[in-house]
Amino acid sequence: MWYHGGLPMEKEQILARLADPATPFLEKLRFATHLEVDLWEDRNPPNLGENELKKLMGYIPANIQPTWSPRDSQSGKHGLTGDDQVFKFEFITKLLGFETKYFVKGYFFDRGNCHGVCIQSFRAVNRVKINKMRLVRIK
Amino acid sequence: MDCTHKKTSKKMVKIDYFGLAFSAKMDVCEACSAHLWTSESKEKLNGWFSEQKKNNRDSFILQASLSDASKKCLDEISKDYPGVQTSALIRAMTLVFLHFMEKPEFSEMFEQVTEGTVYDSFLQGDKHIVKVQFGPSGMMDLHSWSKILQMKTTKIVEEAVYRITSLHIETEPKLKEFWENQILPQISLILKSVA
Repeated sequence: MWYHGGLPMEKEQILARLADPATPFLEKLRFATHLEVDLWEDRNPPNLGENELKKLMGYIPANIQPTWSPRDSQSGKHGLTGDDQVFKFEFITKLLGFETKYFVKGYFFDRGNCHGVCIQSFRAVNRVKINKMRLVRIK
Repeated sequence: MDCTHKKTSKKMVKIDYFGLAFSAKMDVCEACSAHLWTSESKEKLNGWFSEQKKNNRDSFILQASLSDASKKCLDEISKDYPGVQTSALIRAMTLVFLHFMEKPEFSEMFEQVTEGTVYDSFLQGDKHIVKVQFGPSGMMDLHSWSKILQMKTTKIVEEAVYRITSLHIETEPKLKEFWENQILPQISLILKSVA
């Protein structure tokens, strides 16, 4: 059982939303990550893992528009059956005094029967310290 | 370089989790050395974690170094939970902290609380070592956040305690409301389940 907007959803309902071309990209990504994720970890430069992606999902803007390009690799568990297009996008987090920009690249699988996502790249591309401001209370 | 993992081969991969070595056969990219996590390898990892919890309990224990002031504040909060040990309170605070860190609207509060003077006062003074035991899922959460924040797991536990105890003291209305309506009910819920 999975919850969306506080309401319980069956797997069949999720699959229907994944098949609907009107489903916004981020929603599709969220649904897909809750069904099946293939993720390339510890690449060079280092990739973060599936748990890290799920924890930071709330920081991806709801209206994010990824760029799409043809996929040129067929390796991996769903390499032959996955979508022909790869998505790419970036998002920013501000956590514990650091602003970090992340890069995400991947593709949904299977073609015509979406039930998961393969994340080829998920890594921090820029991390800067945020200058701390002190609160001054006016008495 | 933005590798597309074109050429791969099956290899035994060894991964370190809190000083314990997990190994599994995975697809490995010949160009960038990345390994591919799939539902099968994740299932194997989950089984391995359950085994480790039984056989290597010490690996699930963290030693946090906490200031005297924060320790006193923990003692004060724990008075409301008779029979609950300080280590259980620290564990609950850490799990609640990590839960809210996933939500940008709340994680902002953990930034704001460091702008007041209470947080700085908690960082000063003598330190006490406190041992805290986590379950496999709690340890995995800490492991993930450690990678995200590029911070040691013990440091995350310490930050959780400093920021949450600061929220307990702070009088700024937004922070006070966050403590009373979000943080405290979650901590109480966890502690009541272990009491």
